[in-house]
Amino acid sequence: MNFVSIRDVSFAYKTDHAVIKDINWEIPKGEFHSLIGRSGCGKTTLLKVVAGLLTPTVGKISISNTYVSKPSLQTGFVFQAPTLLEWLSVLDNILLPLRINHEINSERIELGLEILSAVGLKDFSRHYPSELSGGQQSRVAIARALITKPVLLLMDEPFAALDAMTREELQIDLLNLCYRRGTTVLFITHDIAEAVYLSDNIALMHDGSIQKNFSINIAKPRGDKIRYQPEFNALCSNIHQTMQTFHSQNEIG
Amino acid sequence: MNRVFSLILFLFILTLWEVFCRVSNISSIIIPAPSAVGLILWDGLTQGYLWIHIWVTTLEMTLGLVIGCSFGVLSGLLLSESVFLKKILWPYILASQVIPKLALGPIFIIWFGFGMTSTVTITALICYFPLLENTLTGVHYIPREKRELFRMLGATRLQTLILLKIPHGLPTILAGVRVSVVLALVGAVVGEFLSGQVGLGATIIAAQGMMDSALMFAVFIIITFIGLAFYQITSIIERWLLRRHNAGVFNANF
Repeated sequence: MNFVSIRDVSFAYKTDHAVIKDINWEIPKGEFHSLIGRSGCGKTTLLKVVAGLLTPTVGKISISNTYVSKPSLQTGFVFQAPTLLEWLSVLDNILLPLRINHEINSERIELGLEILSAVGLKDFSRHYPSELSGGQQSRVAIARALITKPVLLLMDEPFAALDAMTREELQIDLLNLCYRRGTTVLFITHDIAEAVYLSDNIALMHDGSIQKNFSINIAKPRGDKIRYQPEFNALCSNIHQTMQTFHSQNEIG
Repeated sequence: MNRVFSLILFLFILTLWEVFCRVSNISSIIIPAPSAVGLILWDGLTQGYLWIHIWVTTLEMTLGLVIGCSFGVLSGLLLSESVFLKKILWPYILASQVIPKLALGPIFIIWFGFGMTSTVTITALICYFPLLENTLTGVHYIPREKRELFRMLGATRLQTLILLKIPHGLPTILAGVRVSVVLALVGAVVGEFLSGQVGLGATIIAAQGMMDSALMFAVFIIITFIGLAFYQITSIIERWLLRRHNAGVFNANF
C-alpha cells in the first residue's frame, strides 16, 4: 500500500448524485501530486474527503497505513483563502495548531520562528494579517500548515488569488520547502503550468472522476527557467488538449 | 475645523433662543431662556442638590447595562451553541422582548417596590435583547473555511468558541453594547418616571409638578452629558478590545 492510498472512493452530498465517483489514487511518500480540472468538477470535495472533513459514501482512504475517519494533525490543510485570524499576530497564527493541542513551549515557539524564516517572513512575526500583502498571507498559511510537521500537505488552490509574479515566487519556495522536508503534497489547481511546475504526477479530473494521469519527469530541484523550456511547454499543451477533449466530449454527449 | 463650525452653530442657536425668549416675552413655563436654564444648572451643581440624582441615575444605568449585557451575551452564546435550546426558547425570548419593557414597570413596582431595583430591572431588560441578538449574529456568521480550519486542527467546541467564534463576533457584540448604552439611559430615566423617588427621571417628574421647565431643561442637559460620556467610554473600550482586529486596517474614529 502506498503512503496515501485512495481506493474506490465516491462521495455524494445527496444520495442520488455523486460529486466524486470511483476515485483510485496512490501517492508515494515525498511526492508532489496535483489534481487539475475545471471549476465544479469535484476537486475540492475530493481534497476534503482525503482531509477527513467529509466521510466518503463509498471506499476508503489511508494515510501512512492508517484509515482516515476524521481530520488529523498528520495532515496539513491550506485553504484557497489564507484563512488567518485577523486578531492574532503572524506568529500566533502560525502557532495556533499547537495552542489548540496544548503543545506550546519555548522550543515550539523557536520552531515557529524558524518556519517563518523559511517562508521569508522572519521580520513579520509581530505583524497582523491585515498588515501583510496577499502573497505574505499565503506564506503564513503555508507556515501554519507546516508547524505540526504534517506527513501530508493538502492544498486547495492556495495561490489562485495572487498575481503571476507572486504566484511563481511562492511556487518556487513551496517546492523547495517540501523537497527539503520530504513532505508529501496533494495540490489542487486549475492552472496547468502551475501543476506541471510543481508536480511529480498530475491527475486530470472531469465530472467527478479521474480521467487521466500524467507523469512529470522533470528533475528536481526545479529552477525557474524550466518554465520556458520546450519540454515544459509540450507537457502543458498536452494536458490542455486532453482537458479540451474531455470538455468537448461532454458537450457533445 | 468641523468642530469649530459645530461650536459656532451651537452658539448661534443658543443666542437665537435667548433673543427669542426675551423679545417674545413667552412664558418661561413653555420655553425657558438658556440663561435661566444655565443658572439653575449651575446652582444645582454648585449647591450639590443635583449630584445625588446624577449618582443614582448613573448607578442604575451602569447596573442595568452590566446585568443586561452580561445576560444577553451569555444567553446568546448558549443559544448559538445549542440548536435544541434555541428552538425551544427562541419563541419565548422573542415574545418577551416585543412587549414594551416600560409596560412591565407597574408589575415590577408590585414585585420589587418603588426604587432602584425596579428601575435596574427595566434597564437590564431593555439592554438584554440587543446583546442577545448581536451575539447570536456575531458568532453565527463565521466563514466556512475558518470553521473547517478549526476542525482540521482538532479543536474542541469550547476551543472553537473561545478562540474563533467569540473573537470573530466581538465587533458585532460590541456594536450591540453601543446600542444598549443609549437604551440603558432611556431605561433608567423612564424607569424613574414610574418608580423612582431619586434620580434624574424622578427630578423631571418633580419639576413637572412644580411647572419648573428650566429645571427640566437643566436635567435634559445632564442626561445628554451622561449619555455622551457613556457612549465615549464604550467607544474607547471598544477600540481597545478591537485593537488587534483593527491593526493596520484603520484608526477607528467614532
